Amino acid sequence: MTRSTERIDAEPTERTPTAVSQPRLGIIGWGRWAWRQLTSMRTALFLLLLLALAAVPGSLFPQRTADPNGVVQYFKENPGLAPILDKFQVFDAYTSFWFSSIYLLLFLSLIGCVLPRTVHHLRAIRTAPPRTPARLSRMPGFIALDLNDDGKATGSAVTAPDAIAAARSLLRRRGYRVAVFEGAQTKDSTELSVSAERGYLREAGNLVFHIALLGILITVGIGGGFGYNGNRVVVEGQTMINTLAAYDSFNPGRFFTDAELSPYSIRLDKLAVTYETQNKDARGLPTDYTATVTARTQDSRNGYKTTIKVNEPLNIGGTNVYLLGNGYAPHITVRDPRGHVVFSDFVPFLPQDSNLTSLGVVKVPDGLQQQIGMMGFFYPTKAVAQNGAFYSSYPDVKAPMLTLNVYSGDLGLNGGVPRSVYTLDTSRLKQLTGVSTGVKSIELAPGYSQQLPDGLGSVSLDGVSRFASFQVNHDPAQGWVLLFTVCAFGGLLTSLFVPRRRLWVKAIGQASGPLRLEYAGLARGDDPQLETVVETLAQNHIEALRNRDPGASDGRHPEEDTRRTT
Amino acid sequence: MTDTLSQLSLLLIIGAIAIYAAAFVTFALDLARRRSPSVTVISAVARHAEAETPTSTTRLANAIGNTGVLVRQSTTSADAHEERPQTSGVLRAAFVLTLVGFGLHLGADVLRGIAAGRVPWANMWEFSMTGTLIIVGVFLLVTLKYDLRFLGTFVIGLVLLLLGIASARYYVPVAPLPPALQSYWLVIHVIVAIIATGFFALGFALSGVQLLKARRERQETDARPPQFAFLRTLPKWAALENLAYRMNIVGFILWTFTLIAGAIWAEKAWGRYWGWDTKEVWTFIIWVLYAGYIHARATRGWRGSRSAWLALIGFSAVMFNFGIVNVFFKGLHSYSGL
Amino acid sequence: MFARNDRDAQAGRLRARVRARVVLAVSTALLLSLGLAGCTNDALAQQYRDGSSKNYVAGDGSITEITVKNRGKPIRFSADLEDGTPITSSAYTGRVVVVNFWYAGCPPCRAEAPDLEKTYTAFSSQGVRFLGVNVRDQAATARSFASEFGITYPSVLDVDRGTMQLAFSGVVAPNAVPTTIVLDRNGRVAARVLGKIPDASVLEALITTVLKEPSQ
Repeated sequence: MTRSTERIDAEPTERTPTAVSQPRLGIIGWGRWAWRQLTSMRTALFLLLLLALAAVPGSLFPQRTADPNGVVQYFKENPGLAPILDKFQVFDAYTSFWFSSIYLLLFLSLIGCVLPRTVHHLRAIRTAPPRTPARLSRMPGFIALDLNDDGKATGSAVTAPDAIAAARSLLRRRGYRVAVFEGAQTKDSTELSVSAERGYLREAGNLVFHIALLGILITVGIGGGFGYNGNRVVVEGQTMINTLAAYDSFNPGRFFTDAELSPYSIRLDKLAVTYETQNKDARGLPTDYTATVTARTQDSRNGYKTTIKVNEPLNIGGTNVYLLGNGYAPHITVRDPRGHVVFSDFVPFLPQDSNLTSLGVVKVPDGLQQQIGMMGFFYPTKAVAQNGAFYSSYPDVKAPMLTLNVYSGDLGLNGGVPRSVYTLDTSRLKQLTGVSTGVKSIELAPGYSQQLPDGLGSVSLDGVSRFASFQVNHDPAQGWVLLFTVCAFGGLLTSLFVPRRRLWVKAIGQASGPLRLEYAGLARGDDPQLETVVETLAQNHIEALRNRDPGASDGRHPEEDTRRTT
Repeated sequence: MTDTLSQLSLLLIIGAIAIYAAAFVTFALDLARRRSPSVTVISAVARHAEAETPTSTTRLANAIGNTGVLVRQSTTSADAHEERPQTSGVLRAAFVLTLVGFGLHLGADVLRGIAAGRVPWANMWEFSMTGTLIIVGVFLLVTLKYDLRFLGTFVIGLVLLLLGIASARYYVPVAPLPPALQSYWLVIHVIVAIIATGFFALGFALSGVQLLKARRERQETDARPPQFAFLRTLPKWAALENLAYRMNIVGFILWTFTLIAGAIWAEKAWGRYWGWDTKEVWTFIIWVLYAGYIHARATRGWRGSRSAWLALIGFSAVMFNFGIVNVFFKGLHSYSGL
Repeated sequence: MFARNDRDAQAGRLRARVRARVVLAVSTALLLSLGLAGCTNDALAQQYRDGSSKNYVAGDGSITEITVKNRGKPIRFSADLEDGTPITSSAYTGRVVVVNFWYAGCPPCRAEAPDLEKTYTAFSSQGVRFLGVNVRDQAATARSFASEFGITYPSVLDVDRGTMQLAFSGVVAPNAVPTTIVLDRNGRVAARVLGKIPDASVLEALITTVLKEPSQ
């Protein structure tokens, strides 16, 4: 998460170019200034907070992508306000110009920060740890001790090169990158030190995290652009095909072409719903939906049987097919006065409550003297409230009942203008039954038939089927999104938990007196363990010196990494 | 059987609430007693010795033995368990009460799970019950490492408030899982979100105390009359800030995981991994706020009080997401069984 | 928090320029891939966003004609007509066939029905066959529609089995309701109209073109 704010703060002359002091800044100058501003930490932080804020309105207002009908409803309820909000793309908040500008600027800022840091980090990996500070005593966790081993125990006294060689191998074994430095030489003392650094992964993880975020953004964009999703209500026994003609609604990505639709068909053989019957507190709660389907691709002669459940989509033809909803489709038949069938269909009724009281519209455009429309409720288990109104008391079909109000006239279908199948435009229809007309509404149980008013014919309820609402989803970049997400998470863990620190061990050989050893460390980023680590290093170093094999490192000078300092 | 168990679970919750209430009072009493200068309470993290002190009692000195002589060792911050802090009996009592309350709470939660035959976090009531349990659990767990008992008033206060609202408003009898929730992602996604909330709660409390403490320290330097006497006994604001950061990054990582797991589950259940559902939006907002907090901490001029404010805003969003979005917003997550 | 103080100003400027170019490229890609600012004017997407719950994907009357050498494979199908008579694609070989995907409750289908019937009557003497594919209705509803509009050519009821729609799906698929497809004498898709046919003359022209093709 660290970002070089200092870049800007360290160069004050470039940070505050004003029109007054530098009237001839020029386009390039302004561009550089703007770029520096954009890539500064402060701007990134500001954009982050702005992004959080800008995400809020989208949760308060219905969104076209998630809930197009909700938007229509909002327009109906707030005819004055809605168009104004729409101007500001409030109903498309997450693709709006303001939201997009914020995250694009944020990612631009991120790129501007990550690129130079990657370069810098790659260079840092290849360079040795920096020189040991002259005065370790100012560093955190500083420990100084005098070695009073005069060599009696081990045969020879520990020299500064011995101590440093031991420290060097100790640190190397722990994964530190090390470099040995010669310090100030006076006639009284020789100084040798090892400088060690670890935790390059911290910065690497940080970079991976940010780059992966960029990867997520791009792959999400690609997936959204080339993908699609579509919805279709399918009644038991019917078939949906993955062509546009078969969808009830279809939401294409920006670069969607028809050719992306892979040909297959799915026939809903049966939708089985299980309801809780034992637990009296949860009686009627659905516990399982299983759609048994026959899936068939264009090339295969025969389909295969499979199931689709909530949480268990069917993968077919590069798409996933999800079971998203269910309801009842009463089988309604309308006859003309001579008893000739003019309309017969399974009409999906939309559930209105958890006991599946369902609302539906039947449109009979042909075959009768006049077009008729019927609007009514289906109750899977009819119950009567105290005020005489019907309601459904259980979601399964126990005592089904269909009530319909009849309208006649012009359904508005002949003009070629799209109409909602779930509403009846009554502007050019005459109501024939229901409260205002004095004619009782039609009430039907399965197997029963009733006359339509005005001698129009009759209507019967022949049975009840279930329908399933399927969603087909195609996202070609989904796997990539997941890959980048995993990278981002890994990067995040690494960048927050791998400590990056420097450790130093200095050995000062004094002409008169014992060998002095100094230890210190420096945390780069949050490192709660630093002092413990320095202490443990000192401990282990002493132990190593005590147990050293006097012959092995005797006088050997680690020439190869010694850097002479001035 | 199910009925008996869930009844028992409810009884245990009521017991837990009672004990927590006692713990809350006792914690508050402890804070109040810290006003009086006669009581010396030293919190371990409060022992913030800047002085370079020669010590002869450390493990290091023992290790050196007669091989060398420790000349100097500087300590800038204290190891929490190096030296047992002196604590008041009141604080100890409050802590014991919390432990007892936690035991009852845990029992209630487990019984509810057994009664339902599944994980006990599938509706608002269960979510509240497990959520508060985890908040206390995280508090106890973190106390093993850092002595944060001075936060007891806040933590137990928050838990009492949430449990109180939940038992008054959200209690529902045991019901089977609706098909939409029948997924192992329910186990993973929700529990990780709850644990993240536990850490965020501690981070929130620490950031809050940090702000108060910073204010008091300013008052002290400006020789104005310092407010809130109990703050005197707490660690310096910088130490509190450090701790708050640690809590919040653990929370942030868990929250990131929640977000990812949620997306994977959403892909399985709803056919898209991200759809700007209200709950998704708020989860995202929280994530961005805490990302902002982490960045703020690395931004010159923002480290300290400003970033602490961000942590406070972040946790407020967490609470909003839990209490308001779940209940009042229309969205795909609203099968919370109210 | 790692300062890059060591930066040499000259190299820095150069790098900044390179970086700016990279950034420009990446951000252009981003903008392209995201379809910035929700300015989705695409007709298909718009239908979804309207939320009219009309429950079908409408076409805009766009016409696709495919030259002989670019046509795909012959479409093979077998299905049952409204009255139960089985039909197969082989019965139509050697004839130009107009296939219309429709259903009774779809407003544009109703609007174009008279034009279709008119064209059918005009061309049946030249051996052109018309075949309706009803994608939503049961037999009675379809028959009522036919008698209402005086449709004399047969239709397949495809809602239950979907075989016709599956057979025609693919590259030049029925991607709207209604869709009208003209098959050449070899049963290959020669032309397609998505949505209501703009005018009888348009369909006539399409049929005439295919009729004029030499039989192979």
